[in-house]
Amino acid sequence: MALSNKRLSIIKVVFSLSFFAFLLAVYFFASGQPVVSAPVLGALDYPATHGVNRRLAVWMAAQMHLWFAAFVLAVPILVLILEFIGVIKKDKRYDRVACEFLRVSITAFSLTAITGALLLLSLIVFYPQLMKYLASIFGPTALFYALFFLFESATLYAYYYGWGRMSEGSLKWVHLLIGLGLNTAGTGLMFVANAWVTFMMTPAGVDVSGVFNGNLWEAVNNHLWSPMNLHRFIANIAYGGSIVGAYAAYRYLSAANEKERAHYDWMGYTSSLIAIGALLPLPFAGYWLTAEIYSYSQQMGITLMGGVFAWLFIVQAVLIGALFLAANYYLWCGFGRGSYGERYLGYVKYIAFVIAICFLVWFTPHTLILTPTEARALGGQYHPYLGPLGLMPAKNTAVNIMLLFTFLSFLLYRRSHRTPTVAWAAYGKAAQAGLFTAAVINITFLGVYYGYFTNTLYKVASSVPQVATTLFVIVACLVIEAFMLRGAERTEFRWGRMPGRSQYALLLIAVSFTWLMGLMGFVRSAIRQHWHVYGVMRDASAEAFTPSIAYAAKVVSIGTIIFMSIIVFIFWLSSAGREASDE
Amino acid sequence: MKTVLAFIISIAGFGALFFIIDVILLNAQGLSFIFRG
Repeated sequence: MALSNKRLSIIKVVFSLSFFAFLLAVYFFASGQPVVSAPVLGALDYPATHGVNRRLAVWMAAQMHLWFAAFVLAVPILVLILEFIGVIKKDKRYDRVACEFLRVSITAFSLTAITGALLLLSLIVFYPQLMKYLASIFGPTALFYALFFLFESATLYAYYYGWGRMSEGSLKWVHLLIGLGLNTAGTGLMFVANAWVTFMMTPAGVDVSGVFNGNLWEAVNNHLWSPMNLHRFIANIAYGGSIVGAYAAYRYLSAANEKERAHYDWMGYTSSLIAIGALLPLPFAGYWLTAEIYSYSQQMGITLMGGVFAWLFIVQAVLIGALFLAANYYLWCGFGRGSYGERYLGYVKYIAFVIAICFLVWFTPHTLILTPTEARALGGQYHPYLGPLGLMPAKNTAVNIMLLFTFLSFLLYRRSHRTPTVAWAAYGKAAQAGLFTAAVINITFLGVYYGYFTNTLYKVASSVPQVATTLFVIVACLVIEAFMLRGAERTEFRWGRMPGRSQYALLLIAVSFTWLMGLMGFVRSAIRQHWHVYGVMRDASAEAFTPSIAYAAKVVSIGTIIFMSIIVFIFWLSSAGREASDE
Repeated sequence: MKTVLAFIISIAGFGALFFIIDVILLNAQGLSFIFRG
């Protein structure tokens, strides 16, 4: 009975994915006729909406589709990594958790396809001219999109359904290979869709009036395509990890016995580790993306970082700061899992202090919203002492130091169940401390000197060596740690001993990620301002104005609540399915 | 005492290494492989 239900649900998923792909391919091929130039639109080129806010409808559909798509693209990556680790370590726990991760994501696959179809339909209905123009350039890419979709559906079926049958010997490697195929198709899909989105921001292969030169690769490989691919790929892993972490927290809090609690504690730790691990290099991909925006159009870059949208970066700072505090708090609670954890508890207050200071610097705004009386009292628009902290160099410095100290929490956590016994352990620890100190000095020097005492070119460029320093510390410390902990005294982690409140930190991380993606996704899209395709095809609809930040925040927040409610429903479905199959 | 010495030497050694990385990455040519502009 359980098998037929499983088969039925996967058939539904395959059907809905294929339906969406078919719909998209048919539309793109049918409308992919050559267009001489980008149409100059008037208000009458947009069909009547009968009271429906066209922008809001497309916004909501796109946002929901992106959240689900990020989730279903990321989870198979996590699953493949965990399955592979399980094979290498010969540890069945990884395999069990990987399979459970995949089951959680299965329902989300259908919802991804449904929201994708909704997005496509709303775009065709509300913005037909734009879709016609995009299809005239990107028509052939729809073939790749459809093929990737069909391949993804087929491999998903084989990967999920064949888990039990291909669990041993050489068949396990075949199973891993199918998983690799699933991920390749999923990533390929995202790359194709990214080409359409980034073309709208930084069009290439067309002249100023939008006449396409026929070189499709040029249009695909526009300024933002590669950085967007990288940024979304890494961010999706972080996001998938956070959502699965929330699932583990949900199951931990409702666990019926110690064994179940230990299982979900381990699952929560593993997924949050992947989420935070992917979050660490994300700023680097973000810098690259932003640098390419500036490189394409300084005006667009200034709209992004220096105009009204700058306030959303303050909101971003608050959310990411909260996310880092939650991640650190979870790690500190985790000290209790190890036998030696208590000896590191004394360091927590210092790490918390540094992270809190960095957090405060990060969300210090540059321009303040002041009444004339307040401005007079302040002596100008900027605060005399705190004003410099509102600039990017201060924030870059704070972010990198925050990343370093989060990594320090992780290092201490790893030591909470191990004591190094090699003769040079004291020197190894001294070298690690020296590495951290040198890195903090270097990051601060780069931020202060190049940020405030040299020209603007270096102000932006100095963020690259800052991130390089942080990444170097992480890699070098882990190498030293690996050698130092050879033959270390170790005790087993006592899984399932985490306080209940630590699990709320995992839930907070998932909500913060979702909210962040929505808010920053709005900024990325909104910097096109009144253009469908930036500088080429003008938006003449009644909704072509930039909404206020308060309005955008409300839309994204409502979207977050709807999405998280659906996710909780999926968690419940997944738990119910598991209980039914256990019985 | 030796541990303190190791700590100081590490700061100096890694500090020098970071300085070299900074110089390479802050050089416009060094950055050109990342940024198009």
